[in-house]
Amino acid sequence: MPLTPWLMALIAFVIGIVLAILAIFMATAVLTPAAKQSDSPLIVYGNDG
Amino acid sequence: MRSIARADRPAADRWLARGLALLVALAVCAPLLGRGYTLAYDMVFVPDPAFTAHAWGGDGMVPRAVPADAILAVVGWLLPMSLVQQLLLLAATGLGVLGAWRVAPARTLLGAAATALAFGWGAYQAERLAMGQWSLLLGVALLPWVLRAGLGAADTGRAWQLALLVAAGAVAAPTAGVLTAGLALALVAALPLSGRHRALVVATAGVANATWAVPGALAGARLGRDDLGVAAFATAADTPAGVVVSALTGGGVWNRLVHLDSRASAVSAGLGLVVLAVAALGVRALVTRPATATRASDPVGPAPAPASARAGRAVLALGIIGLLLALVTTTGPGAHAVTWLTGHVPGAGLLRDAQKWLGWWLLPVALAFGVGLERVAAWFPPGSAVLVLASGALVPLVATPDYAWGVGGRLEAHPWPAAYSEAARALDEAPRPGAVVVLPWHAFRAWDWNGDRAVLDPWQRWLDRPVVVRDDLELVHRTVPGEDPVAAAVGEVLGRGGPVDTEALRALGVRYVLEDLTTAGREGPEPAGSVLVDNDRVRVVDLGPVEADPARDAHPVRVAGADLVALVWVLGLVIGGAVSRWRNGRSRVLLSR
Repeated sequence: MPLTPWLMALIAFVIGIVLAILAIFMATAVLTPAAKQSDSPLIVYGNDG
Repeated sequence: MRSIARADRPAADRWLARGLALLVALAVCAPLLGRGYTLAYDMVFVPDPAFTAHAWGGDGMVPRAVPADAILAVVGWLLPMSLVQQLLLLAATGLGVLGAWRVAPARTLLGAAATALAFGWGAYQAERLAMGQWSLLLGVALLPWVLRAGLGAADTGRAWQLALLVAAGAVAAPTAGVLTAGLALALVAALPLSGRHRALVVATAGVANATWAVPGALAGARLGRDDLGVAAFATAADTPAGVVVSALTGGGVWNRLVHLDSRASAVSAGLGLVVLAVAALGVRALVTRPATATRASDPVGPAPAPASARAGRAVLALGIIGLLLALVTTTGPGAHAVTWLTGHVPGAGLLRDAQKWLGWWLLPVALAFGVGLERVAAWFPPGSAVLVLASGALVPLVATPDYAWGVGGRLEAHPWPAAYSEAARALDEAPRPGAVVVLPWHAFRAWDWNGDRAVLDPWQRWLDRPVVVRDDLELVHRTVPGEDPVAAAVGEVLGRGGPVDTEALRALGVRYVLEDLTTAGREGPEPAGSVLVDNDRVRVVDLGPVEADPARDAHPVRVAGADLVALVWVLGLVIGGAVSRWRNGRSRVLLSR
């Protein structure tokens, strides 16, 4: 079955939404300052729960 | 409508794979490609790394980045280290995508893309990269290439590519070495290879991994039962669905500080389970030969050369072992068993950080996901099937969007301030013998110029002389004791309180104290001595001459012997492989005449 115009539009729409979510996320990541560890005087290797 | 079958469009199959791998590598690494170095947790690159006994494992300490540090020091003589780091990060993030596409049993371009993204884009990669474990990720990225080389060996009867990949994994990192060697050994056991080629792969796994296993075993006498480490580094839930779902969906690193924001939502875990459910539909095709006959009009098209069912079974079995290893220390009896092993078997410490073994799990899930997605797509009319395939392939991206952009901004490149190079030069030229003790007496640093990220102390890599750094791993809830007796002795001296006992430090072979002035954790009085360097970031104090460097139970000759054997072996593989390739090409030319 050939791709009808409405089906192609739907594919573009779905993929576009996904890419838009990624783009928004990446832009947010760029604009917000990098994650920092706590301000505690000790620099820990990690949080072990 | 153009066919999306891989067999119909071999050029598209090649170039789309390369394009997707590059796109993924750039989407993740873009902020890491600026001027300077990306420094976070275990990822410490310095401008001029020293080729020291510590780098190749000859100093008697438990090897952590051996022999990778030594290789990087040599590469650093030829290329700028910032460029080397960027290339390694691009490889660690992109190679897995390309390899998974190439080895995918999926018959369509979109099915192969689904496999590539399911393998190369997920919580495992994001969390491990956030912890700076690039060498582990490089080893995991080699896994599909190992599978490809194994299938190639069964096809052509030549196993040198497989052996070289095993060697590459071994020099990247100990766990990477075990991951790649484990898969290669499973494949040579499962595939119809000659005894000679099986022996070549087995011997390479032994010889190449000896570069870290020999220094590890020689330092093994000091290893004790590590119940603290086993408990601290057990797989942890990074989704609301618990630790089992977290591990099944590729996440669950022990360190809660690097858990992804996206994983906190049920959507991410739900999408991860969707990937698993679709993969379950593809498992049968992975472990049995997929049907090759399809209708010519089928947009899915005929199948490419099917992946060997035997290899598929080996990959699946190893994946299940990886999943079980990741979960074993989350159970009481499992934690007890691994704790016992850490006290009795050298190298069992590798089992502590259990979630690493999910590297084996990712491969069968990804391979089966692409095939399973094609099965789901086959339920729909051809036009809609393309939509299903395209949307399904993007599910891994949507489930873990914060892998993009340096793991959601957690990683970023920054140049080292000149003050550090100044101190390194002064200490390299300072009188010998004598080790350097680095203060504050903690293993990790956080500098304002690097966004206050926690970074392992860099001086053992930077200075061309013995450096003593605290090797206890300080965590939020516990401190996992280190294994270096010299560091323990220095820690005891520094912990006495009052003025620093410089005579006691000199008796241990310590001549210089390097104080990092701009990181958190400074405490206690200044050590007395003549000041060698005093800039805005680093102060170096000379405590006075010492008789010898700190004494450790080192076995440099044995370790160097193991390294030499490995070097000659790998050179032999490279030369043998090149000759084999040349002969193969020549015979093809002769046959075509």
